[in-house]
Formats: sequence, structure tokens, C-alpha cells
Amino acid sequence: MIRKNYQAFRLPASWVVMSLFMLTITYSSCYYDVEEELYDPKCDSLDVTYMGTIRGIVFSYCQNCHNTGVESGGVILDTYEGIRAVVDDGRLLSAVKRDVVASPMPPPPSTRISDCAIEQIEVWIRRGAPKN
Amino acid sequence: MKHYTLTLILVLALVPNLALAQFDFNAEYDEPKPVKNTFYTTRIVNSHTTESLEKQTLDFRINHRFGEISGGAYEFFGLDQAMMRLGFDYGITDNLMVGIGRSAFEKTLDGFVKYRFMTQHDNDKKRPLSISLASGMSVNTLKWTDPDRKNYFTSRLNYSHQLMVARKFSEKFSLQLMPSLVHRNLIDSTKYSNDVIAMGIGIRQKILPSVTLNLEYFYIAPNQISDDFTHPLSLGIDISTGWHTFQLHLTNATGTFEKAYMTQVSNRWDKGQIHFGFNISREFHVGGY
Repeated sequence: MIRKNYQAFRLPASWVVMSLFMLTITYSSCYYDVEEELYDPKCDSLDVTYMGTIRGIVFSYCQNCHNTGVESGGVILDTYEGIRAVVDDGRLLSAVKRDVVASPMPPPPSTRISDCAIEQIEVWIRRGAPKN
Repeated sequence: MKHYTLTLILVLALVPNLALAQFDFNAEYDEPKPVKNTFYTTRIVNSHTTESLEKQTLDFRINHRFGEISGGAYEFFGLDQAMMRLGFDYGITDNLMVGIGRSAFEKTLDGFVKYRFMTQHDNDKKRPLSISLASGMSVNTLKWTDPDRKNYFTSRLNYSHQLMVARKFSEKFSLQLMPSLVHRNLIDSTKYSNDVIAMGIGIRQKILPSVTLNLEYFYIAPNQISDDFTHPLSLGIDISTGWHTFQLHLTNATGTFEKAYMTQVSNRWDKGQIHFGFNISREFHVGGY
């Protein structure tokens, strides 16, 4: 009986401690940020270069699965030549635009890459996909 | 001989009555007992259940979600791709548990605390339900997509709060409702909402002595998430072998933590975008007996 009483006291105590912990974390870092408002929504599609723009996009979205170590689908995107190969056969743009011709990339459940990034890739390809 | 026959008939006639009398006798003194195994494990498919780990029990969980089955033989029906979560859950008391995990989905670390306020008891009208609350937090550890802009660590954080209300109606059938709230610190557009409210339902139907059929569905209130995303629906079976539980399922959700499976489900059942997946749970008793 004594043990029961002791436990009855302990359970709520541990719960209160954990709740306080969770509440502290939750409300100390709870934000209502929206990218559209937080960052300049304008997309820079004029100053697009391979080194300054495209390489960064491809590296952050694609390189985890497409590199010289992990050649998912035989596609290697950590070199200009590798990227150029999928630009030339149309797969890069098709995959990121998810137009159903090539497999959608990054694959679901990841979402489409940003409209701005797609626009920058399109502009770069239209200019001949130079290594600039 | 006639005497023996009569005795035998009398004994046979009385034994069931005696047994029944014994049963009735016990029934009068039946104390309320906690209902066990409302669900086999602490998850239905992705969602928490009201079940809690016993005190000082460590649960090692491996969740796998494969690619789309519609990929056909070329993609080995989805098995060529996999999304996984490794996790450790621990029972601090019989009603309080904590857990951490790491998912491949957006390279996310997540943790949660779950407390069971009420446990359903037999023969107790005051405790007809099991009720638990789970609160969790996840951290996306992907590289910033635009490292040049001012990025905030808080943009990586997401929170979830989920209330589970369950009742085991019979030995075979259990039902659970899960009103849920997911908070995302950073979203793309003002068209959507940082807070996402959802209502979940979970059903468990026992079909064999240690096999159950499970269903889990979340209704996401409209105008909170992008139209690219839909409601998660999962169907599965649980196979329990004591300390192990195997959960095999078909689902359109590939993420296995709250923010992923409630707000980022891009696949649709009606388009055949279904994934095979499994959860393996292995429990260890890590404290003294």
C-alpha cells in the first residue's frame, strides 16, 4: 500500500517535469515564419552561371544520390560533364519539372525544387549550358 | 451397475454447474483490471497508439518505406528505393515513455514524450478509455538550399502534439481517434498555415491469434498545406511474436514522423502511388527485475 502511494506521487511529478521541459522547448523556439515574407521573393534569373548558380542547386538537391560513389540510375551529378550529359538528353529539366517524361526528381516524397531554381536551370540550358 | 451409472450422470450433470458456480463466485470479486493489448505496439503504422512501453523497456524500432509498387519489376516493385527511420523508445514508467529517431526523410532527427493519462479497465465504468498525449519535435538537418541568405536554425524545427483516445471494444476490435496539431516554424507561402490541424482514426481488427489488421487515416483540414499533398492512408498487418512485432503495410506516406506523414504526403492511392513498408520493433528489458 505504501508503495502504491509512493508511485501515485511519482508519476504526476515526472510528467510535470517532462511537460515543463517540452513546453520550454516548444514555446522558446516556436516561430510563424513564411519564406515569401522572410526573404526577398524576387528570383535572379539573369545572373545565372554554372559555378555560381547551377552547381549549387544540383549539389543541394541531387548530389546525395547521384555522385561518383552512388550512381543512382547511372546518373552522376558531381561533375560538369555528368550534369551536361543529363542536360543534353533532356532528363535534368524533365525530372525537376516533373513533366512525366523522366522520373520526377528529387523523388517523392520530396517536393519539387523551387520555381526559382527551375527557372534558373531553364535559363542556363537556353544559353547552351556553359561551364562558366 | 445401475448405481454407478446414476452416480456418473449426477457427476456429469454437476461438473458444469460447479464450474459455473466457481466462475460466478469469482465474478463477484472481480476487481477492475487494466485492458492490455489495445494495440500490439506503440504505433499503428506511423501514428502513436495509447500503448506505452513498460517501465525500463527499450524498444529498438526500424521503419522502412520502399518506393512505389507501381514502379514494376524494373524497380523491383519499389524495393530498389527505401526511406527509413531508426529509433529508440524507452519506458521511464509504465505510462511515460520517450523516444528519439533519425529519418532519411529530409535527414531528420526527432524526439517525443508520451504520457498515458488513463488506461481502460475492465469492469470499471469510470475508465472506459485509454488516453495518451504525445508531444514531439523534429529537426531537419538538410544543407540549406540557399546558403547565401540569412538562414535561421529555428527554421529547421517542427513540433507535433497528438492526443490518442482509444477503446478496445472486444478481444478482436480496437478503435482510436487522434486529434493532432503539427507546427512548422517555416513554410513556403502565406497560402498555407504554420499550424496544421488533423484528425486521425486508427482501427485494429484481430484476424488470427497473433495477427491483426490495422488501418490508419488522417484527415487534414483544408487550406493548411499545399495542394501537392494529400491525406495519409495506411493499411497493414501486425504480427506479434512476443518481444518482436513485425508490422507490414501499404501506405501513401513515406515519412514516419508526424510532420512528414501528416503534412508531406505527395502520393495518392487513387493514382496507384502506393508504397510497401514495414516496422520492426524489438523490445529489451534493460532494468533489473
